[in-house]
Amino acid sequence: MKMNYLLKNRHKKNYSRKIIFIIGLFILGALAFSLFDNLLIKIISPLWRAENGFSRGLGRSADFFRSRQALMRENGTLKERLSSLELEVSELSLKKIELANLESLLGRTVYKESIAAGVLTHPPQSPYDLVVVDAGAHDGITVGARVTLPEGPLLGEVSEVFPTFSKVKLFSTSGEKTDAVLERHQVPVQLEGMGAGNFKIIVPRETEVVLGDRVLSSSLGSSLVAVVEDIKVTSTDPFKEILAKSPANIFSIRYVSVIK
Amino acid sequence: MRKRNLSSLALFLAIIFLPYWIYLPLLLVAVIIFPLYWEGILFGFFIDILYGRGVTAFPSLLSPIAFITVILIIVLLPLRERLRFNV
Repeated sequence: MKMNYLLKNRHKKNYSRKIIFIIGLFILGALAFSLFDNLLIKIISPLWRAENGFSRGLGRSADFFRSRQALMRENGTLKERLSSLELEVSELSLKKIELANLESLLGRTVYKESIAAGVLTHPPQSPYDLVVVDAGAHDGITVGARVTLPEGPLLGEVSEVFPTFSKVKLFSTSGEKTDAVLERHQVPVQLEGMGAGNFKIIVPRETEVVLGDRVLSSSLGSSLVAVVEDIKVTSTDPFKEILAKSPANIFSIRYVSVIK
Repeated sequence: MRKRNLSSLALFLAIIFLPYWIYLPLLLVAVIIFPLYWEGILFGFFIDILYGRGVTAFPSLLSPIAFITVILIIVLLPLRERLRFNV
């Protein structure tokens, strides 16, 4: 008996050309984007400024028509202002102690010259906890310059500088490690960024830490970096995990100070 | 083709104005839906330039979003033959 076999209609496809195209495009893209990064951000930054202005303007006009909403918003703004002032007060009290300490250190002076900068983008627009500010090399900003809130708390460091704008890497960037000091007993610790303004600190179990304790930067003119929010202790672990949060709401920052 | 261009435009605007938890899933969906979505690689670089630590010529292999997009497109090439989309 004669047997007829159907021909296989699924022949092997050759993807090598497509893969070469994709890899080639990736390499070319890397080269092109590395050359034009400054230009790209320069082109996009007016759109960010317009968006910031538009969203604020829209908010104001909506308040006019919705009085109840307006009151709620005003309440929110006042609360924000209150927390900002509280931060300022706590920062000032810290400065007082700092000043007393500094008086004992002969020959050392802390002189901070800072420049105000507007925030163009902040998380959650950026997936990397990076902030783009509208001050750059023309304003005397350099890589590594420290960035604070106008009220005082430390936010991060300048990671890239362009002529008219800069990128600021927040200390809370995931995996970022920063030396700091637990204020209560002046215990040196390492803050590990967890993203979205959160930090993790590992300390020996015996270290005394209380909710609300402040974590300061380890530099001479120490500033507030984070506040202890949660403490996790397990009975078998010789260490305890402290979860701290940046005192600033990084999702709504508008202005920062860059210390030159 | 029109859908592809419109989606690319929407994605571009989303990258500039919207939070990452909107534009990154959109990018993933576009890479899965459209065949050989090479524009996704450029969008990956674009995101890294705007919001990341920048793209420098050689270590750009570490430019995470563009690199992941490349891997995803390559992995999806054979898979696509077994899937059917109405796009």
